[in-house]
Amino acid sequence: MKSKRKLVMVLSVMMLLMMSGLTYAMTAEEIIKKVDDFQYSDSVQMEADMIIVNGNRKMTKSMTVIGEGSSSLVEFTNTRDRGTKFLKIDGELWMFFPDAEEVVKISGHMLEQGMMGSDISYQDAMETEKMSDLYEWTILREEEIDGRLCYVIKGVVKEGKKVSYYRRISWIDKERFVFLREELYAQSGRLLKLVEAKKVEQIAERWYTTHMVMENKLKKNTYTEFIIHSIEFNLEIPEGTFSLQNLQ
Amino acid sequence: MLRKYKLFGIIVPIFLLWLAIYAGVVCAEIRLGGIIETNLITTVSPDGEVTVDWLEHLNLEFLLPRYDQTSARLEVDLYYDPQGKIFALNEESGLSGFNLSVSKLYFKHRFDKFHLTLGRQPITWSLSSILNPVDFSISSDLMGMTGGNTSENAVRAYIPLNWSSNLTVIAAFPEGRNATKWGLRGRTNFHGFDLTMNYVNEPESLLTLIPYKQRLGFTAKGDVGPIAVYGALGYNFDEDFADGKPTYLVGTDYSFDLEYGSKLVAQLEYLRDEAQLVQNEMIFGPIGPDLLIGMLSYEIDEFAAAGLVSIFNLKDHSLMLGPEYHNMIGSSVDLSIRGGIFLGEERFQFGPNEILGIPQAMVQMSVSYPF
Repeated sequence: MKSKRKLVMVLSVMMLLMMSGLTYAMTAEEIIKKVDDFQYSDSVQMEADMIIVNGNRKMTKSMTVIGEGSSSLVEFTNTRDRGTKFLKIDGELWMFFPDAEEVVKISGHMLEQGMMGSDISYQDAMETEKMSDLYEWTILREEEIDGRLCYVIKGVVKEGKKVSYYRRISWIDKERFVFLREELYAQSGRLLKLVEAKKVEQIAERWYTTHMVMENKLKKNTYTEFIIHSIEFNLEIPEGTFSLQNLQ
Repeated sequence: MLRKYKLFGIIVPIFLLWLAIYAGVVCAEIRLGGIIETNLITTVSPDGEVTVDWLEHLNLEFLLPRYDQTSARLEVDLYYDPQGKIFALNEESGLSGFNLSVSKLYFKHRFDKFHLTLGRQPITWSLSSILNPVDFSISSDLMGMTGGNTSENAVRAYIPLNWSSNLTVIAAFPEGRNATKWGLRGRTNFHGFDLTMNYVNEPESLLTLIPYKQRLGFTAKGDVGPIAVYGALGYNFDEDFADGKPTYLVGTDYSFDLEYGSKLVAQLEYLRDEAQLVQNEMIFGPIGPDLLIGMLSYEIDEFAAAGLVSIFNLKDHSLMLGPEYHNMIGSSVDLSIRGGIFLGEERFQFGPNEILGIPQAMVQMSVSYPF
């Protein structure tokens, strides 16, 4: 009888532990740090396409992106926007207009606008800070997406941090530690954007999302695809890359 | 005029020499780009007569490869006015209705300490304002109202000091003026504010409407919380500094989030033009120095946008309204419709005027294809 009671107690404690989430192999902080390790590098350079879709209409923008620390440089190479460049340094955005050949400082409120008409804002595209530095994370549950088991974690912005989305819920592949899905919310609780990974590749010993779709939930029938054709991590960026001089 | 040709006389042989040296590689890598555009311009004259003009435009850009620290640009604009109304008979060519202009023909070499650009090049010191009274070329920044072109035959040295600070020195040879125009601009970033200081020395000419030979300018642009603010202060003078007249510009812009995910960007400016750069008394009569300028721009969706620009003279109460609509047809053809409505008495700044060529209204419909 005693041993039966003991067994029930042990099972109850185990169930309680499981329900409280304490049995997850990793904490939310550990999970997001691992994601950061894959997502962020000292420097990065990529060639990518941004496909903007609205109903049956489609527009493709091609670009080269270089990033290091809190600085990034984007140059558009598609016909319509050829030569247009953006430079972001410490939260400030500068744009080079190829026709006038002049560099103009972009107003801060424009950072929240869709980059070149897409659903991806300048802030989204040029975000360089780590997720673990910007948000406080907690584990919500585990869930399967397209046959892959995911941690579902919630991030709420840390006090004093400036971000576009107050709260985000992320589905992290348990095995590869990449975002497979993200819901981005305003402070009011309204869902603003939905991001879904369409292709994840192993590049230089890290898993990386090379094809994703961002949907602006405030608009109907529109989404933006972001496809990375080539990417290089931790490369040496020449001095002066992130300067107004290099935009000219 | 003579200087213009002298400069071209220098640029063209250098260009040909560069092409000859790299001929094989250059020719293999040269690509063509540009825009082909057709315009239909409907104008309602001050006496109510309606005319329709047709204008074709080809912008052709030779996308030349960059070699090491040297690059070259060549861009030409060819206009064809089938009715021969916009471009009259050219006596040299004997052709009517054609106009060819070179907007870019220059070499740029990036030396260790500075960049040197030699040739025909666009020069603008834009503040992202609607009007900028302290730009290098005043007429170039009136939203194209004066038909000004920002390209100059010039020698420009750009000296970077750090990532955001630089110095630009320009010697330009404006068409129609037998003297050198020169300018100097310093730029820096201070606590998130883009600051510039500039000086321009205009050559004397009967053709210019700019009443002062020298101009000192200061501009600032930054953010105060979620609102962008900017301003320009100019001081215009001739030989005697004390006899100069100031110009001031203050402006702001802000984005309004609309419920269904779109944004409305609003921009408001006030210009006090005591130096009569924009509001010349000789042309318009005494119309007062104050202008209020506003712009609204609304992104309908990813492919279409609409906007409205308005310029209001606070003294004579004349008004210019400029609605605009842009849409992409399919995935590569652009349709844009721009309007201009001019309201006011004759001899008011925006009042319809036969002599000054200010109509009652005009609509320009353009269809363009970038390639």
